[in-house]
Amino acid sequence: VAAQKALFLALVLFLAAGLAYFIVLGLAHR
Amino acid sequence: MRSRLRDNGLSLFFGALFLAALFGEAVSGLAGFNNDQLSSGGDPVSFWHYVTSSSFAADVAENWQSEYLQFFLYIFLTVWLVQRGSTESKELDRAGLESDEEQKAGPHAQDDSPRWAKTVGWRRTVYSSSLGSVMGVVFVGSWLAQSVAGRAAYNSQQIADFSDPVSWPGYVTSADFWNRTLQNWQSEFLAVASMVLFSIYLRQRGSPESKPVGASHSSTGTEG
Repeated sequence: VAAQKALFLALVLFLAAGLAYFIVLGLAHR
Repeated sequence: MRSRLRDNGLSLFFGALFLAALFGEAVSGLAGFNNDQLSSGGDPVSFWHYVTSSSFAADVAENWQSEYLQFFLYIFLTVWLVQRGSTESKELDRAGLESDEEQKAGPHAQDDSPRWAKTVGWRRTVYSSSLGSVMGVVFVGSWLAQSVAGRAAYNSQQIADFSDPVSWPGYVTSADFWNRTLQNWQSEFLAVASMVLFSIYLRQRGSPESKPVGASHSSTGTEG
């Protein structure tokens, strides 16, 4: 169960970080 | 260790496929980007420069948003819409939110039910829609990211072509934004309709996405 929870949290964090990264790249006009 | 890998095989395998495909997208995207740069008289860019460019961000985000839109719509619409004979549908007479008893919610929760399923009020309401809602939030976030990064990428091309850059509202009402959006949506909607209809008549032995091989075409809401 601990492994499933770690995978779940890793996915949530990855998605949040990925979307924030894309938005920052867009706002930085690179 | 081995059982932990086995217990998480599906997520680990798709996670690895995702990373490999994303890397491949970056490598091939860089090659295409540099071809365009050279043919328009610009300088080629490095791998690092490309994966931190708005062009790469927009390409990735536009695919993400369509996938999350697909799951968001699918999760919510299958509450009410049914399809006779499909594994993707529940039984025809169960359309709707169903009773607390059928959903093991509130007073019908079991000892091992999630904590918020046992509560009443806003926590249970939130938890009862958490799967679709999270898909919806990622969809909106990805679509927003596509619009912001897509605008930056579009404007860098506009500037290279000696044309005027566009504002964000200008970009989200542009042909470029909607063409990129709809070319992803159409394939998702076709794939969902295909899965709904193919699963009525076709079988895949051992797959939970299929009915059992011998199940009748009219049986609905059964998974193998």
